[in-house]
Amino acid sequence: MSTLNFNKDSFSIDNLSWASVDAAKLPKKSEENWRYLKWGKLKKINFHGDFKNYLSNLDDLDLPQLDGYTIVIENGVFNDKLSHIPTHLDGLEFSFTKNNSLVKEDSYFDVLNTCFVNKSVNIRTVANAIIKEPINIVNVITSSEGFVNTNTHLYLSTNSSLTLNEFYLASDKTINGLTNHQCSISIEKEAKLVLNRYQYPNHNFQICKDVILQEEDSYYTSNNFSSSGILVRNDVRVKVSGENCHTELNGIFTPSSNEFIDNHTLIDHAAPNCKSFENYKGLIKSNGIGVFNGKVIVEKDAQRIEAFQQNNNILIHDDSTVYSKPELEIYADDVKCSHGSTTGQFDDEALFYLRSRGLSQDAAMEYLTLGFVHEILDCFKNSNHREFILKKFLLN
Amino acid sequence: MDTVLKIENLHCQVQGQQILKGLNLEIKRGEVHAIMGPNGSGKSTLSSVLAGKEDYEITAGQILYQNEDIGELSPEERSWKGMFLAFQYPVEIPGVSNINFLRTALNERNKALGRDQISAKDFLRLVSEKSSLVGLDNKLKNRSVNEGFSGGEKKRNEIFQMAMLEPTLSILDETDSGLDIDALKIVSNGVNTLKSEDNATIVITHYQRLLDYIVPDFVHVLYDGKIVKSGDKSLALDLEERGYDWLKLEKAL
Repeated sequence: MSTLNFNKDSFSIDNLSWASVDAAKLPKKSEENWRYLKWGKLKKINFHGDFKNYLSNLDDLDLPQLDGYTIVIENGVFNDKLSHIPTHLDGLEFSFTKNNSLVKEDSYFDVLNTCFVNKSVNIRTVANAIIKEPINIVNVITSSEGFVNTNTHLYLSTNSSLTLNEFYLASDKTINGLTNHQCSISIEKEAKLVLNRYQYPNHNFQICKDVILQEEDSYYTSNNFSSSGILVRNDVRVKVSGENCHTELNGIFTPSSNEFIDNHTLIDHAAPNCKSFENYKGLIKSNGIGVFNGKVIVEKDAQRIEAFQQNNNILIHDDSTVYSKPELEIYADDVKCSHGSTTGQFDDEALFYLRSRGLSQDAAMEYLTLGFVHEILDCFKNSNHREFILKKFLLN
Repeated sequence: MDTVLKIENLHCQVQGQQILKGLNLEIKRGEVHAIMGPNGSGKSTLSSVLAGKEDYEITAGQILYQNEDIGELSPEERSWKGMFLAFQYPVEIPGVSNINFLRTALNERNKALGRDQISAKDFLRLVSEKSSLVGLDNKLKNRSVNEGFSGGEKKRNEIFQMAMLEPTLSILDETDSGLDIDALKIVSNGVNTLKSEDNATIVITHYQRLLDYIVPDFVHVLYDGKIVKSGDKSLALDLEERGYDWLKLEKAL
């Protein structure tokens, strides 16, 4: 049984209960949900608490052009100077409150998040509000070996709609920091949320957990792009509790040398007449390790569900690794569900075709990469962001 | 007339299996050569080894393209030097527009040859000029490479790409397969228009039909990895009438 190491004196958090922190233990390899993870690198770091803002502008950060409203969270603390949110907005309410985690604690990182989060970001749409401008949350770590916990609560009131872009990154020279994020999302009747997430903490760690509750006639799409990180773990748990919902989880993950990106998703259909679509693509580079573990549950009374799940992976090199585990648990009898997983290499014939037209090996590989991910890429509706994504994984 | 391609005693194996067993062929500028032969005679292997496909190992002999041994060159290097292979089964590349792909292809070549990148204006002019050769629909130009194209559209797209790249040596691998008679005419017409005194064409085909439209100067019969008979276009007509069996017999004797 083991824990992370903390330089306890460096954490100045009111009412922090070290007893609770010390009592919690890292998940063991024997736990099915965590079996692929190796804690070695994470356990070697002596994490410290450094909850300060250092950045004076966003120009040095690797970000695409941000339209709409921007909230910058640096080292877990709101950076007022770099954020851009009007004090009053029609249909939207922002607040920062003392953490009251809505996520049930069932892992080590949930416990840590509850203990360490200082303030949560709360975003609430007013009923019937259609928010045209996207909200960007830039969650940046700028302190090496820093331990950062963040927490977002999103409430989409009845018949409202919102697009949220989240960026998880580190400043240029920051290494071995850990960001432990939780997000609870509540989507009321007929509300619509699109969550675009961009994860590229480079030489840092990230744990991320989303818990989503959908009411009837609601719409939820998450587009997840995970491009780098020493260790990235994503947990997505969607509970569809009302009828006629649309749920869509799309992802691209591209671990390269000695990086580990682990996606665990769960869609729980508890109500009838809903549709869910899940499509994750892994592009595993040399020495990278990727995980896709997706589960769909159709509960006993959830009839006429259509649930489709797909995971395709390309291993770029002989030493690339992927673990893919699609799971379906169906307790209803009138459903249409499918799941599929493929892992392979780029088609030699396609590579030859492109090269025979004069494309260099590299250019041909880029095109095949583009061909492989374009379905997911097209889900990101902002063209600047699509360009940004492309540059990120085509150039390395 | 100078020689574009000279194949000398070419032996080639694929996954340990010897397919070409001493093939000789010489092609000069301005000429059209047809290569015919029964299934399994080595026609597709010949086109693949000429274009530089990996796993096609030359075990003896050589391929001289414009007096240079190209046996060790990559497919893209051969393309930059002016070789072009029109595929029997053009590959679908989803998510990549035809036009962007061609522009990249042209610019990769320009880069390799130390030339300037093509301007957007010149490129579009070239596209409009060349696509009219094969009547390629505007929509297809902007669609993903070959994705959802019909058999005929794929072959037209091959000839369009050939027109854009203006090769010195074109190899058409079973370009007639999967084409109806109208598409065959359009594709052949495109090939004929691109023919000049400076370039050369190899037409690989099963059937004589294509050669009604693309008239060859020479016809060669490939059998068991070698060219066993050469002649003018009348040889193709003979083959159409008599099949390949008489040649197999002739060779056995």
